[in-house]
Amino acid sequence: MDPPLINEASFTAAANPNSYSLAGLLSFPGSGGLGLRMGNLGRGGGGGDASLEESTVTEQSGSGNGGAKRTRDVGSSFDDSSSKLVSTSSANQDVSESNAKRTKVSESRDENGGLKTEAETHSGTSSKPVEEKSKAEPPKDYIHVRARRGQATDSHSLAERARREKISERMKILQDLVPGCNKVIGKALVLDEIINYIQSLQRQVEFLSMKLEAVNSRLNPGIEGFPSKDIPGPAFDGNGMIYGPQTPGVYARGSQAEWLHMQVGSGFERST
Amino acid sequence: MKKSSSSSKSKRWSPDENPKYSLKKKMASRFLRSMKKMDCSSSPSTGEKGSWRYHAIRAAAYASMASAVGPRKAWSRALLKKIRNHKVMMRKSSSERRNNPRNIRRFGHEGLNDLSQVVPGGKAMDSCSLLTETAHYIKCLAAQVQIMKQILHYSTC
Repeated sequence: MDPPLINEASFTAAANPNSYSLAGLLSFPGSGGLGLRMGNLGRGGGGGDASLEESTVTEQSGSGNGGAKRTRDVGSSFDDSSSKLVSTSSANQDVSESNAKRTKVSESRDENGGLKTEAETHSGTSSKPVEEKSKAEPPKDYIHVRARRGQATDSHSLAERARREKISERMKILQDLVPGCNKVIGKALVLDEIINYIQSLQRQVEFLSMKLEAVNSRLNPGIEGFPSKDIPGPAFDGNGMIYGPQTPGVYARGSQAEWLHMQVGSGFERST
Repeated sequence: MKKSSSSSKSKRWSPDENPKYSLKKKMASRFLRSMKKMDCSSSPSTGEKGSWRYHAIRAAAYASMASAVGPRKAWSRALLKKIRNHKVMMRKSSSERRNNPRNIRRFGHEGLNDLSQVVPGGKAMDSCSLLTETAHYIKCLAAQVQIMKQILHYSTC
């Protein structure tokens, strides 16, 4: 093989695609205009650092020209080599483009993945209210719920299952109501917690009434009034709305309890 | 998520969500009115004045709570009945009611049996309504405790 002759002859022309391929690989990996940029980048990119792809291209061109077409004129060999080189360089270009495409594809995959995750989060956030909606109307479910696989289907067990679901739902509501009851696992413990909470509230009422008794007995001498025997009981009138926009001067001359009344009423209106 | 679900549940659940505020207001006004009546009324027996007042205030607290809720809840009905018939009940010996075998282990769960002892009127309910009434009772008790705390706060300072 003596390709140097042909190679030298065809080098100027053959170098263009090589250099282009190099330059294309180095500087324009994504540009599609192969034929247009060839002349412009001809000599300038040739002196750059040679990549592996370029060396293989020149070898291929040399072998292709030197083997069978030695006797041919330069022009034909030139044409062949140039065409081959163009083809190889275009192949390289294709490779690089495909690489870029691959990276793009991978990027798009990543983007797709990100979008997917976002979509999943979106769907997760959007699906939860749906679940809650479906949870919010369980009474309908009782009618539609049938036995799953392996569950008994006679009416007694269906009714029993519905009842159990109802009870567990109420238990969940109670668990939400009682502070610190969400972490407790087990029905008996939850019920114990609820009972403790109720008893603590009742004890709190007792304690507060004791304190109020002490406070009121302190305030008692300043109160003159009208005796009425029935203290507890449902005999209060129905419209208990005393918190109207009345002037405080009315209350100022009233009894202590009325003053309290006003204070508490305003406190409630502020707090809620 | 959990918050919204619990709030939606409580909305669905509570007597009526707007009147939650007015229910509390009702409870406060009734309680204060009965306290005022108590203050104005002369104590029946001067000797045991302190304990009488304490019991009266406690009864007033429960009664205002129950009467604000009204008769649509079983626990409030039971509570009002209990308060109204308090003296009669006291006169009756409580031991014979305690030994009534009908009330022993009505529910399958031990906890529900205990719960029915705590919630007023709980002995006459089935387990499902017992839990419902318990939730409502807890809410009202918490509101009552808050009201009493606020009254105490305003009356002390």
